Amino acid sequence: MNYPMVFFICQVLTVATELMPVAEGVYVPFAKEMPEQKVESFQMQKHAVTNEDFLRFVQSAPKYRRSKVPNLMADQNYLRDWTDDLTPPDAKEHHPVTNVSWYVANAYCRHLGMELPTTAQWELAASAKDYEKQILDWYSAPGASDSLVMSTFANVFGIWDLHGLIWEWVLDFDSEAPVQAEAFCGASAGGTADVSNYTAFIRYGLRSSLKANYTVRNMGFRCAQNE
Amino acid sequence: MKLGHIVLALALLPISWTQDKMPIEEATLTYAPNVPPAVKRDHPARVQVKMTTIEKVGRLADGVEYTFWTFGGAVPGPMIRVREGDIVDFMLSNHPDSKVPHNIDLHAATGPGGGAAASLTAPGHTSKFSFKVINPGLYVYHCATAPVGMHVANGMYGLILVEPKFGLPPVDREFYIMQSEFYTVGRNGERGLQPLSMEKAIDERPDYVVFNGSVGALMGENAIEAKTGEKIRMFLGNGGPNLISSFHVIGEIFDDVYGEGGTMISQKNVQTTLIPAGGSAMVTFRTEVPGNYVLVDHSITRAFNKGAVGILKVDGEPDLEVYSGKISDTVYHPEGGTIQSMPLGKAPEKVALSPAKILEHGKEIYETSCQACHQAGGKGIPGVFPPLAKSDYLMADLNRSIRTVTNGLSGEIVVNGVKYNSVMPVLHLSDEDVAAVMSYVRQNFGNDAKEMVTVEQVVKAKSE
Repeated sequence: MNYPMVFFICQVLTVATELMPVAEGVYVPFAKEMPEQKVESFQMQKHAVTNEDFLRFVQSAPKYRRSKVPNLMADQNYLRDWTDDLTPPDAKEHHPVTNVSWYVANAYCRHLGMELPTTAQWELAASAKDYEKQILDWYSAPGASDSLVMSTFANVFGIWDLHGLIWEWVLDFDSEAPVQAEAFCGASAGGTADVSNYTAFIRYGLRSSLKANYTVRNMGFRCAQNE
Repeated sequence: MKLGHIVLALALLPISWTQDKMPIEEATLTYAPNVPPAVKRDHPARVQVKMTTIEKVGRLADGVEYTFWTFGGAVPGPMIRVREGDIVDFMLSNHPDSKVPHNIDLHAATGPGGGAAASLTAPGHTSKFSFKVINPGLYVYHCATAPVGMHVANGMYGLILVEPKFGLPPVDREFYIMQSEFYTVGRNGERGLQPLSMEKAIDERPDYVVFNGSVGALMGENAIEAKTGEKIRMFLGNGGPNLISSFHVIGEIFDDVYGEGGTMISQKNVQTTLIPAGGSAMVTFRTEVPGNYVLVDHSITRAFNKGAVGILKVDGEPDLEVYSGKISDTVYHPEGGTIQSMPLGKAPEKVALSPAKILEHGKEIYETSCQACHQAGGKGIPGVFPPLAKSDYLMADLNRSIRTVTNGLSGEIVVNGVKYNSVMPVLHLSDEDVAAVMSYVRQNFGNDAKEMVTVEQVVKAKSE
C-alpha cells in the first residue's frame, strides 16, 4: 500500500462516527424455513454516514466520485443531489448521504476497516416492537427524506435513526430474496414467520427489489464492526 | 432439405413475419370515470403502456386526507384498453421519492404472478416486461408487493379491458367506476391526515367505502352525465381489498350484465350485480327518464354511512308513461273512506304534550327518518349529506328549514362553508311530527335554539 492511502485512511478513521456496542441476541428471519440466527455482540455506527463523511471518502478514493464510478457499480442516480464530484448539497453536510449503491457503501465501510451490518445484525439492533407506530408513520409519509442525522430517536443501544429517517443497506441484502420473490403472491404469505409484522415485511419487500448497483433517494447506510 | 421440411418452413413463415411486423402503438390511458376509446384495429399490435407509481397525500373525504399509494397518481389507476391477441409492453416506473418498491399484477396477463415478480421496481427505477393478452374480458390490476394487503389498501388498483377480437357492441357512453374501501385509524369523518389502520384492514372493518377513490368522487360537479334514450356501459371494478360489492343503480335496471367481467352476457334484466374483490363486471342499460340516478353498493350502510354513493345525472324529456312522477298525495284510511266511530264509542282526548315529551318524540323521528343520511349526532357525511350539528344553514332560517323537510330540497347549498349538491326527498310527516323533529334538531347537536317549534309555525311555513 502506498503512503498517501495509509495517510488518508488514518485521517478518515480519526473522524469516523462513534461505534456503539450491540449485545448478542437472536434474530428470527422473515422466512419460516430459515433457521433462527444467533448474532454475536458487535458494534454499529451511532448514526448513518453523512454527506460530510462521504465527501472525505470520495476525496481519498477518487474512483468512487460521481463522474468516475462505472454504471456496473452505481446507477445514473448515484449521488444525484450532489452538485458535482466534491460538492454535497447545500447546507446538508449533516444529512445522511443517500443515492449510494451497495457496492460503494460496502467499499466505504471496508475503507474504514469495517463492514456493512448483516441483515441479522441490523434487524437485531433495530428490533423495537414499541416503535411500530413511528416506523409505519415514516413508511407511509410520502416524499424524499430531508432531515439531519440524529433527528429522530436513539434506541436502547444509543443508536440513532434506525427507523424514521432513511432506509439503510445491509451486507447480505439479497440473502432472502429467493424466498421473498415467492412471497409476493398471497399463497406463499404462509411462508413468513410473522405475517402481522408489517414493518419487517416492508423492509424485505424493499431489499428484494434492489440490485447492488441501485441507488435510492431515501436510502443510505452505516457501518458495523465485528468484535 | 426434404419436401416436408420446406412445407413446414413455409407454413411457419407468415407467423414469424406477423410478429416481427406487428405495429407498435402507445396505449391511451384514462382516469376514472373516463374510458379509453374503443380499439379500431382488426389485427393485433404491440401496445406500450407506461405507468408510474406515486405515493402522495390526497383527499379521502372533505377534511380527511390520506397517504395514497397510486398508479399514475390517482385512485383508481388509469384504465388500459387493448385487443385480444395484442402484446403489451409494460414499463412500470417507481417515482424516486417513493419510500417502498411497487409492482403490478395484471389479472389479464397469463404467467406467474401476472407480472408481479417481473415488475418489482425499486424507488427511482423502471421495470419492463411484456405479456400477450390471450383472454378477452375486463380485468383488475393491482400492486402485489409484500405486504400486499397494505399496498392494495392504500389504493393501488385499476382496470384493464381486453376487447374481444370483434369488439364490444356499440354504446353511446362508457364509464369507468371502481369501488374500494379504506381503513383509517380515525373513525369515519374524523378530520386530518388519517393513517392506515392495518388492524381494521385485517378485521375487514372499513371506515370508508367509496367509488373512484374518495367520498363524493361521483357527486355534485363530478356526477357522471348522460341523456335520455342513450345506451350506457359501465366498466365496474372492485379493488377491495376485502369487500364484495352489491352494485346497484337506484331507479335503473341493467339490461345486460357481463358477469364477473367475462365476455358473455350472463344475465339480462338485473337489479343488483355482485362484483368480487379483485374482480369486475360490465353492465349496459338504456336511459329512459331524466333525473338523478344514485349508484350504490346495496350493502346499504356502506352507501349511506361510508361513502359508496355516486350520481348519474340524466337530462332529457320526461316520459310519463315510463315514469309518472308523483300524481297525487291523499289521505289513507285503512278502515275505508267513511267516517267510523271507535269501538268504545268515545274519541280519545287530545292531550297537550310537555316539551320534554315532544322532544323525545322528535328524537324518535330523527332516528327513524333522518339519521340514515344526516348520521348520529347530526354530523352528516362531508360532501354528501350536510351536517345538522352546529349547522349555520339549519339555524339561519326556520321557515326554510321546515320547508326542506316538508317539500324536499335539491341543488347547491353551502353548509358550514362546505358546498353540497344533492337531493333531500320529501318526508311525509304530520305537522306535529315536523314540529317535534325540528324542535329536537334545533335544540341538540350543538344548536342553540331555546324555543319549541310549534305546529302553527309548520303550517305557516308550508303555505308560504
